[in-house]
Formats: sequence, structure tokens, C-alpha cells
Amino acid sequence: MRSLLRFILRYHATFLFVILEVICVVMIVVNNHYQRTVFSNSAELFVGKLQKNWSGVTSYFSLARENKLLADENRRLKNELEQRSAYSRFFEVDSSNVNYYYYKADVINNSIWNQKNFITIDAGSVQGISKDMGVTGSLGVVGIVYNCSANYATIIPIINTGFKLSVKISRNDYFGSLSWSGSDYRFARMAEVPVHVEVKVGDTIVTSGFSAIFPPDIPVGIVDGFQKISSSGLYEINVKLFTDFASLKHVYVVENRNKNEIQELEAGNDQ
Amino acid sequence: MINSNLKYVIWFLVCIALQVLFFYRIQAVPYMHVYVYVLFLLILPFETPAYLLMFLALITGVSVDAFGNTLGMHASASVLLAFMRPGVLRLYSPRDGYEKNTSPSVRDYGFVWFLKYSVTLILVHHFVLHMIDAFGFYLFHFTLLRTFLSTLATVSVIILIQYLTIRRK
Repeated sequence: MRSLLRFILRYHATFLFVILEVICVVMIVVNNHYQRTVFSNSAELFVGKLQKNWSGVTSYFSLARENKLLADENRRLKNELEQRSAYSRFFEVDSSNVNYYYYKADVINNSIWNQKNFITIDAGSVQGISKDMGVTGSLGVVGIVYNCSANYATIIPIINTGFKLSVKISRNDYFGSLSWSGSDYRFARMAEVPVHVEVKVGDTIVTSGFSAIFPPDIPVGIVDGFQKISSSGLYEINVKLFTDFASLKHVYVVENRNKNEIQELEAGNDQ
Repeated sequence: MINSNLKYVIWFLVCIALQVLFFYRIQAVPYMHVYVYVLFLLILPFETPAYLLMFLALITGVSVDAFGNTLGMHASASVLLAFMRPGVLRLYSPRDGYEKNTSPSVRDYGFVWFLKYSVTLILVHHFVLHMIDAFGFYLFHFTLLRTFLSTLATVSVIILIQYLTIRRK
């Protein structure tokens, strides 16, 4: 017994090291599984508040750029509104038919150099945000809400290796799935496009609207290049993303008001 | 004694604050991250017992993790750094050992010694960190690239901080 004790005392550093590393590994694994437990969550109140205050300070430096971006978006929307109101003179528009509702939020934390990047925004369930809603920026799709607390939410952006979204080529409506390779935050790849589909560099890629997360035809990016994967006989398309994740500040969260109905209906398909 | 403890508490807070408020947000060069908080673990006194070193590393790592949504990643890399530190110090020890009332810094042991000491530990720390981030050997060359570029960045910043704070003592 005494020699065992002496042995432990002698190598106490190594024992402690092993114990602490096991604790760390447990933390990592738990975090990877539930990926936002109460403790680690930057959507947590304290850290969230701190980050919000700090991003309030830093946001002043990019005000000019942000203003220009928003003004551009306003101009586009106003033009569209003008066209629509020309329509509505002839057709009755019923507001209860509107399926999608937009919330606004500011980015308070963002990463782009990891493989599992996350974004934190300053709106949560109190503001009406809930899990699995789509998130877009002024220029295009940003990601999907992953988790949300009362006043904050975390987002899985396109540039997270776990991200997947159904998208289509705007010109001919052929769809495929968008994911990220984990290397460059400006590009993503669109897979599962059959080779008989005509693809051109410069084609616009938009959301397909199949997922019930995003409305159809939200811009995602443009085709930067493509190659045929010889083993599967499908195209892999390199997509240059519209959203600049390195300077993301304002985002919109999209709620699909009919999503529950669609999902309930589709859940019946498995049986 | 109390005075010197206070000094290290301040170093701890400064390192974490620098990391969380400043270096987490600077992403100027692809694959180059600065993890300046390891400075705190590098400059702790020679006499710090191994168990204390590892506990401090755990606390430092978890604090940094809490702000980056990476719970456990920085903690485990930091604990490994703390575990290896006494061995690395022994490896680079001068012929007569380390003198009393000195600390592992550029001021006391010179630029070359500190460079060797910090590069060794930071290289291991960053490699483990990026391996955990990638969680496997997928895109291993990116992991290596991240490790080397980040080591370069972190070591430069840490040595710069050492020179900036030398005169005040």
C-alpha cells in the first residue's frame, strides 16, 4: 500500500496530466455531440452580452461599408416593390398568403478559419427566432439557425463542414446539394448535378426552396468552375459565394410559416 | 510573494483579454491565427509545481474556449503544454541550471533561448489544437499549414510583447 502511494506521489504529474486530458476530451466529445451545451454556449447570457458590447464598439469601424451595402439593398428592394405594385393594381393581394417572414439581427461573433465555423447573432427565441430557420445576408444565403437561447442564437454558416443545403442552377432549375470543403471561406461546392445538365461559368446558383428553410430563388453564389467526377459521373461545381463571411454584420432570419405543416405531411412518407 | 502573485493574475487577465477581444477577431492572413494566451503559461516562474502549472493551463484553456465555442480544445492543448514545460525547460537548461529569482523570459535568458523554448512548446500546442479542430486526418496538409503559420505568428507576437514589457520592470 505504501509503495503504491509512493509510486503515485512520484508520478503525480503524469497521473494528473492523464486525468485532466480525459476531462478535456470528455468536454470536446460532449461538445461535438450536443454541440452547444449550456456551459460552452456563446449564446449564453454572460459571454453573449460581453461579445455584443464589444461588437458594438468594433462595428463603428465598418459603418461606411455597411451603409453602402444596405443602401444598395434598399434600392434593389424599392425597384422590386415598384414592379409588384404595378401588378397589384390588376390582382388582389391577400396578406394571409405570405409564407415567409423576415427578422433582422446583428452578428456578434463570427469565425471563418476553422472547419466548424459558427456565427452568433443577437436575436433569440424572445425575438421570434427558433431552430432550423434560414439566415440570409444582404447579398445571399448565410446559414441555418443551429441553436437559440432567449436573446441569442448560433448559426451554422455555409462555411461549416457540417452544412448542407439544396440549391439549383437559376438558369435551368437543375438542383444539387451545396456543402463546404473546409478550406476557403469564399467558395463552396455544389454536388450531385448530372453531367447532361448544361453548366456555364458565371451561372447563378440560388436556393431551391425544397428544404422549407429558405424561400426559393435566394441567391447563393455563381459558378466559378466545374469538373466531372469520373467515379460517379456527376458534376462537382465550384461556387463562389455571394456572402462575404469575413465582413458579415447584418443578417435576416427567415421563418417559413408553413414549415410545420410541410414537415408533418412529409413525415408521413416514411410509413 | 503576494506582489508577484498579483503580477501573474494580471498577466493572466491581460493574456485572456488580448486573446478574446483582439486576436480572436484578427483574421487578416488565411490559416494564421495568433494564440497569444500561451504567453501566460510560458512565463510562469521556474518553481511553479507541475500540478499547479496544469491546473492553471486548464483554467486558461477553458476561459479561452468559453469565448470561442470550442470547449475543451484549447484546454487540452494547454494542459499538454503545461505537462511538457518542465521537460522542455530541463532540455534547454543552461550548464549551471536556472538561477534564483529569474523567470523564463527574454529578459533573463536572452532571445535565442526564449525562441527555442517557445517554438518547441507552441509548435506542439498548435499542432494538437489544429488536430482536434480538424478531428481526423482529412485535409491533413491544411492542418500542418495552419500549425506552422500560426506558430510563426504566435511566437512573433509573444516575443514582441516580451520586448515591449522589458523596460517597465
